[in-house]
Amino acid sequence: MALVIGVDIGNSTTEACIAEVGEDGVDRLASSLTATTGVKGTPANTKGAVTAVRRALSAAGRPADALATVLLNEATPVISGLAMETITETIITESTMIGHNPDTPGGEGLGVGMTVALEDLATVEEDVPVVVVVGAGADFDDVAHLLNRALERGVDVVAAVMHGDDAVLVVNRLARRIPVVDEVSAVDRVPLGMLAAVEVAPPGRTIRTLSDSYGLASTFDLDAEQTRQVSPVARALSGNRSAVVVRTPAGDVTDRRIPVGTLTLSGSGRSLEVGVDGGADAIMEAIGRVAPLADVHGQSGTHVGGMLATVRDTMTDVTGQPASEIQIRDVLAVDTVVPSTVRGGLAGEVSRENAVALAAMVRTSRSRMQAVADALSSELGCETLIGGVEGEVAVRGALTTPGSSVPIAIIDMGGGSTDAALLDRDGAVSAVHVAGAGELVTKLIDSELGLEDREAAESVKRHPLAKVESFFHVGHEDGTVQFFTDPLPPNVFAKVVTVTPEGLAPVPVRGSLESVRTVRREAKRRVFVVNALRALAQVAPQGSLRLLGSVVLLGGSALDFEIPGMVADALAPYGVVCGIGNVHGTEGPRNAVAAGLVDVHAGTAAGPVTAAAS
Amino acid sequence: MTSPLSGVSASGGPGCHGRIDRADDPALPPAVLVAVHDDAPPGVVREVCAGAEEQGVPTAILDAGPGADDAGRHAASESRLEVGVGVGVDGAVVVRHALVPDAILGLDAGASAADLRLLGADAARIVAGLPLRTVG
Repeated sequence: MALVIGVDIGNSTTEACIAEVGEDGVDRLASSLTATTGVKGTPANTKGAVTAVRRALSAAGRPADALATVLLNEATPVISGLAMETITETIITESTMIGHNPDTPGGEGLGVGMTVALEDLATVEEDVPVVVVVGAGADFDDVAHLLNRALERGVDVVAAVMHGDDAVLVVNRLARRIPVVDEVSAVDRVPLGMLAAVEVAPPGRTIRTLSDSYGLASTFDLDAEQTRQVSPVARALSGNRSAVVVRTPAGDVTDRRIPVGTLTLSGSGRSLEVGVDGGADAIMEAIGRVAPLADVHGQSGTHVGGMLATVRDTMTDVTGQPASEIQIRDVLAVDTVVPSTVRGGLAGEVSRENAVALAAMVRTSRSRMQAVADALSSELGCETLIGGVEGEVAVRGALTTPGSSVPIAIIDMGGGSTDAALLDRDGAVSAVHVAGAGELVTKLIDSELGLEDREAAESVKRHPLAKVESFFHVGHEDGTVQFFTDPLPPNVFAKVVTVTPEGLAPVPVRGSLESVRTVRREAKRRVFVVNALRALAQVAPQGSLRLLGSVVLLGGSALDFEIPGMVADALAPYGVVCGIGNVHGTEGPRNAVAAGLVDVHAGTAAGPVTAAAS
Repeated sequence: MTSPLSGVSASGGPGCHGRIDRADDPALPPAVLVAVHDDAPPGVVREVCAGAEEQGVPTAILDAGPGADDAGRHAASESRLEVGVGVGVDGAVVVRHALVPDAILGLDAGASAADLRLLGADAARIVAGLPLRTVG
């Protein structure tokens, strides 16, 4: 009997499987898991590998000197990068529009009049319709008093715009019920002496006049050409409960596309240029036209260009290969929307701008695993063998899943790349890596929800959502209601939360549970489902998913609460049996490679023994 | 404003049903009760009631002893909306829910008008089922 340990160094985790190997087979004792140190396939991996080995030893209750052999996978470095370019922007010039949604605007209806400062109200003539602009620090009682006095004097006060959160308070104290928009942070920049319109919709409704081009035309007496010019204003205001529009001589709202450079794609003996601002579909279509992709370059000075250069540089640093020899073999582009603050806005208005997120991946055949093996040998004082081509060992590990059979494909959805491999009936293994995986999903969730908090985005990605309905119950995203005997803390009250093993964590968004859930599922679908299909199509016989037979999901993402179901649903129309790997019937989707290494070493690997990597 | 008790001195403004003697009066619409000591600073009560009014939730004022926490407990247990605010003689404020043993929110004496307004708004937001703005 010999004590053997298989170590699988992956992009994000290093797994180990310890076993006794003897005449009558393999007796697996324990397994362990730790974070990979450094880029996979580089000497920096040694530290993580040693940790994984030590943990497995202690879990098995064996001393380090009992170890006979360490088996390492032939890991090759994969470097991935992410970048995002916002391709549209909304600019308000000369403060023509306030389109924000305060929680509590006051009154309702539409008021059209000249803008006048509260302090100047006393000098306004009778019967002139005015929109009163109230600056910071004004008390609601004083404001109401001044407005009532003006009304008594015959001034036609039709609406108000305020700095503080006072609109309801003021309206409750007025002799005439007028629409009031509050929480306008830059109220001092509202131009005075200009014609303005203030609209507040009843609760549960959205504004109808200012969000409509002809409504604006009627309100401000515009001709056809002017109406055309203000139509972006109407579009920007649609869906709001309240809005203010000021007509200024040169005011404008522009909605423009930002030129964000081009990608140069080369492959099949030609090269194509595609503008990033064309969107994800145009980019993916161009990639399809030059398939198989040989290399990608981005325009310098753009986020995407910078990202592609960084990926190349990192690989150069890691492997010592010159940058000219490193080719970016895959890119995934995804359309997304980013909430961004409107330039020139007066109340921190936010508009949803279009953006393109890009994931790129580069891999090299130049592995430095021998250096890792040497370091491990001297650290642990035992023999270290490198064996098994990536993909091949994983497929063999996956094949120990009860119910699986050849031909078998695996999908390993990691952090930076999605890997697929196929073992066909002849024993041949083919493998591909495509760009885009968990990190891109986190990035999409982060930017689409406007969280700017990677941890929070990660939590949304990993855990189901719930809405805290009271201090004693939550409604889960599937509709289940759960009661608690101890009151929930005030910081989660009425919030959308993630249900984590550590408890409920608030998601810092204003949107509904449903909107957060849609963002999460769409991000996963656009990355994991799209990539699973893309990668499988590359390894499938004749590119046909129908010929795949069975697909086993491996890796950390296979433990996700919804990704396996989403991928299985997407594969169902092709008649593919798809499920979560359960290595050796006990290990779940983890440990396929580590256990596979031990099996190959012991000569008990399942499936055809002669295997050729393609 | 539309309260059957609008004739009563309305120290809390139009969103407030004013000072009431008994909370179980069927003529009184459901309200966030604010229990106040006679000598409590009136400015504190004004801001707390204004905060709730801006959220569209009515308030009513009850007499209470000197301690903010006891006053809040009393107000919450009397309120048909199960939310009460206690204002102590020193101007300290406590927001309580009838079913929750610990205070939900609180401010020490001498808090700014803006903070008091937010606290009053949050008391109303508990009733409305909206996220609180004064806690992370």
